[in-house]
This record gives sequence, structure tokens and C-alpha cells, in this order.
Amino acid sequence: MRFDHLKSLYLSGGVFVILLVTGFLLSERKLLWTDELYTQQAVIDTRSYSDILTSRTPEGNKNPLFYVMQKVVSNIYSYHMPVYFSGDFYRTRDIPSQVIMRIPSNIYMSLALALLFYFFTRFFSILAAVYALSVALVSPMVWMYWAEARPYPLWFLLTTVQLVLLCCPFIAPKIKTTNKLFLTHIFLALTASASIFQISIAVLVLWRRGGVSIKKLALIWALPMGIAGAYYFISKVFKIKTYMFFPNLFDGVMPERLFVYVVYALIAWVLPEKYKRSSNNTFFLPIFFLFFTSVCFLLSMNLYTKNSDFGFFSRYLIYLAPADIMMFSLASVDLRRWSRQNFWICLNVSIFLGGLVIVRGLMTYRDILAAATYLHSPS
Amino acid sequence: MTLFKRPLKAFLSPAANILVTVFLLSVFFIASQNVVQTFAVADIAALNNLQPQPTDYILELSIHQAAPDKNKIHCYVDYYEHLLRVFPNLGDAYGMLGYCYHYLNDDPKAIGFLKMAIEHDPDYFWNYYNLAAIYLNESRYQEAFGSLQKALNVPPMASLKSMFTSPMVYLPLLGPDEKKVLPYTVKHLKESYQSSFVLLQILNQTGNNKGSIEVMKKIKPELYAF
Repeated sequence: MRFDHLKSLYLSGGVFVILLVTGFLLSERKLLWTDELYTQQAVIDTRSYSDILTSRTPEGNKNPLFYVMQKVVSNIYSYHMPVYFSGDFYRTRDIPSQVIMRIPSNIYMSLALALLFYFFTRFFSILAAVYALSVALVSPMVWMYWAEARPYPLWFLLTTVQLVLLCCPFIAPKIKTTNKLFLTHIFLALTASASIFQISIAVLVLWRRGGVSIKKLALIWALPMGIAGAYYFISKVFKIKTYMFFPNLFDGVMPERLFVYVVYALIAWVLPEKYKRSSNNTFFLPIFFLFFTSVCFLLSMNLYTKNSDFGFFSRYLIYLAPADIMMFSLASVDLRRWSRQNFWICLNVSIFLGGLVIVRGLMTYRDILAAATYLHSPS
Repeated sequence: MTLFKRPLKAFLSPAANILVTVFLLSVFFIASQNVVQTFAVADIAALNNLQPQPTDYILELSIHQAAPDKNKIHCYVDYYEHLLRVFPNLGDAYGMLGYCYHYLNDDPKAIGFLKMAIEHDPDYFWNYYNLAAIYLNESRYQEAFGSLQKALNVPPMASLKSMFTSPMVYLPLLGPDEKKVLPYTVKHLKESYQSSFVLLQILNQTGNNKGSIEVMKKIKPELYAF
């Protein structure tokens, strides 16, 4: 059953509140770690808004939008980190800091998941929305960075917004999203320099689809690229090195899902006409493929870095996670719809897709348990 | 169309589909079971990531009587509680939990854990001593008396042995240089046996001497990890 805008909004609002509360509970149970402490102390507590916007910070990452939002929240709560961070602590416990410092990140992640839920409720069905939410909630990236005062949840949210805005015109051609996409690209450029890939992909997709003037496309692409480039080169660029290609890649995209995408692409594109199935959702395959390629490119690029300052972490690939969640949910919707004519096939497809989600959920739980991320008592 | 010399339709028959359903359910059941079985390994891996930092904080607290920092002590509690989830019979961890909970102002819990520690390892002086210290702070003199008596019955060498053969609890707290901490631990143990004996003598008189009760009220012994 598909819902109208208002009903979808109310439902998603409920989901958002539940996720927000969950995020606060997670924040209480996760200690602050070096990077969070460093960002708060070296940037948020000690630098002015103008310092942040002109990138006069000792941080290696250039995430002015994240810093500004973090500083706004710190100012609202008149918050300064009470824990003195001398650099030799890996994890620090301070419940008020754990919760306050992570309020923005918690909101971003909850909003991103609620937006996914809204998208699927509005354009597909409540069942598809619940399924998409489950697909998102079994993703390790979501749990690793949900409660973390770092820019990754903001990047996750903006990528989700970008993908939803990119999908809307394909699913409901009446909806115009170009201006919103432009604004999202500006925010993305202010959040992470590596977002140049996804911005370029989105513009490429818009160009391929047509309906937007070249001038506008150039603006949507050039301005965010200029901002991201400026922030990238304005201060010191640290060299990072990829030590492990596949473990990093498979944090962003689930390997078993790649198999589903291949099957999906085969049925939708490659098989003889007789077996081919048409759908509105196959438009996402090239988008996902481009996201995936950009991630592989990013990883390969850093594979050959010499004299690096830091190691490459899979969190720099977090923008692939929303694309993976979206792709798997859309593909699942189609696969189930295609098999609906035959009860047994439909049942088997459902078991297969559901089984993949359940097993992935167990694996994510195990990995989060092993990392001891949320094993600290809140009281 | 045929597949393996049989019409494709045969493969779409309900019987074939039921087989596929059973197969899929079995595959996912086995896969889930396999993942669930690795939870125990994940629990052990979590211990590495839960290890409190700095590692020498308890040593500082116990030797130099550093100001108790509840946040740091909480991290130790989380670690020992998880340690007990993985190794439920680790008496040393119960003892450390009792010690930590005292500094978190939760003496009822501290008493419970110390009693469990004694159950698991009756040959560790500090568990009796710490239990007695809590009882004295709460003016429970009879129980303190009993606990101190038991403490003095523990051979000192047995306590040292418990301490230096505890790879998961005491040794990480004492640090990598055993030679450096051994003199301190021996000296401290000796002093504490002596003070336990004095306390026992005073407690022995509390029943018939009001002055002794007044003296006892002023004594607020600290707890020690080692």
C-alpha cells in the first residue's frame, strides 16, 4: 500500500523520533575516541566561525559545514569539553559530552534513515519502506558512525538526500528536484572534498536524462566542485594510503548484494527479450555502478601512495553505503514484483532476499560486538 | 524449452518449488547458525577493544591514592563485567569489580562482588581486607571482625601467587615490569597484614569498651586492589 505525502511524512516522523531516541541511547554507550576529542578541542572549542570557514584549523579533514553545525550545537548548550585531551587517551568516558557532541550526528543519521523510509512509503509501499529500513539498519557503516561526532553521518545524510532527489524524477517525472540537488551539492562540497565524485556522477545522470539546460548543469557541477577544490587545496593536503582494498570496499558495499545486483542486471538488461523484465527501478543500476566505480578508483588511487601521513579508512567510502542500501532495496522491490505471478517463486525470492538481510544483520551485530562499540554502561 | 532433458515447467511445479523453499530455508538457517556461533569469538575480541586506558590508572589509585575518577573507574567496570561474561569463573575479576564499585559509591554491589570473589578464590588477602574495610566504613563491626580474621588466615605467599598468576586481571594492572612492582606489593601486603591485626585487636574490644567504638568510628580504611 502506497501512502500520500502527508501520511508518509507522519510515519517517517515517527520513525525519525524512534531512531533519534535510539541514537541517544547509543551515544551514552559509546566512549569518545581520539578523533572526536581532537576535533572538539582543536576546532570546535577553540576556533571561531571565520577560522572554520577559511579552513584555519589544524584538522587534516576539510569539513566546514560539519564544524559549523557542531559549533552551533555547542553554543546552544554552552558546551565546552571538560575532558582534557592530551593525545594519549584512545577512549574517554564523559556521558554529557558523549550525548551533546553527538547530537548533530544523531540527527543526521536518523534523518537519513527516516528519509529513506519516507521515499519508499511515498513511492512504493509500507512493506518496501520497512524492508529498506531493515536493509539500512543491517549496514555496518550505519552502526559504526551513527553515534560519532565526526562528519560521516552528515555525509551519509547528504548522499541520501542527493540519491532521493536523483531518483524522484525517474519515479515521478512531475517532481522537479534540480534546484534542491544544487543546494545539496553545495552542502556536500562543504562537507567532504571527496564528494566531487558523487557530484559529478549526479550531474552526469542529469545530463544523460535530459530536461536540464547545459548552463544549469554546468552551474550545478562547477560551483560545488570549486568549493570542494578550494577547501581541499587551501590548507595542507595529507597523503593517505590504502593498505587493504577489499576489506575497505566491503565495508561500504555488502559482497552478497553485489551478487544480487548482477542477477538483477542480467534479468533486466542482458537476458534475451523473452526473459527480460521491465521496471522503473533499473535506472538506478548505472547510478550505483558509477558510485561503485568511483569508490574503487578512490581506493586504487591511494593504493600506490608513497610516504603517506595516514592510512585509508573505509569511513571515507561512507557515501557508497546509501547507494548500496538504495540499490538493494530497489532491486528487491523489483525482484519480488517480477516473481509475484507465481506464489512459490515469489515466496522463494522473498526468503532469499529476507535471508540475506537477516544473515547480514547477524554479521553486523557480531562485528559491532567485536569492536565493543556500544558495550559501555551508561550509568 | 528443456533443461537437463526435462521440460522447464517441471522445475516450476509446486513440488520443485517446495524443494527450493526448503533448500533456501536450510541454507539461511545454517548460515545464521554459523554466524551465531562466531558471537563467542566476537565476545573475546571485544575484550581487546574494551581494555581500559590508561592501563596504569588502578595502580595509581591503589599506590598513590590518586583521586578516584568515576569515568575511568566505569571503564574498568565495563571491562571486568564483560570479562566475566566471557569467563564467568574468573574470581579476580569479581574482586576488581568489588574494588571499583566501592569507588563508584555502590557499596552493596561492591560487597556482593567481593563475596563472590572470595567464593571463587579464597586465597586472596585483599578481597577479605576490602570487604572488612567496607564493613568498617558502614560500622558493621561484627562482619568486619569475621572478614579480618579470614584475611589474616590467608598465607601471604598465596595472595602474591594469586596476583602474579593472573594474566587477565592483575598482571595487566601491575604493568609489564614485574620487578618494579614486586617490592611495593610485598611491602604493602606486609603493612596491611599488620594493620589488619591491629584492627582486629581494636574490634575485639568494641563489644565491652565504649572507647574502642569511638576509635573504630574514626577509622575509615581505604580499599586496595593489591
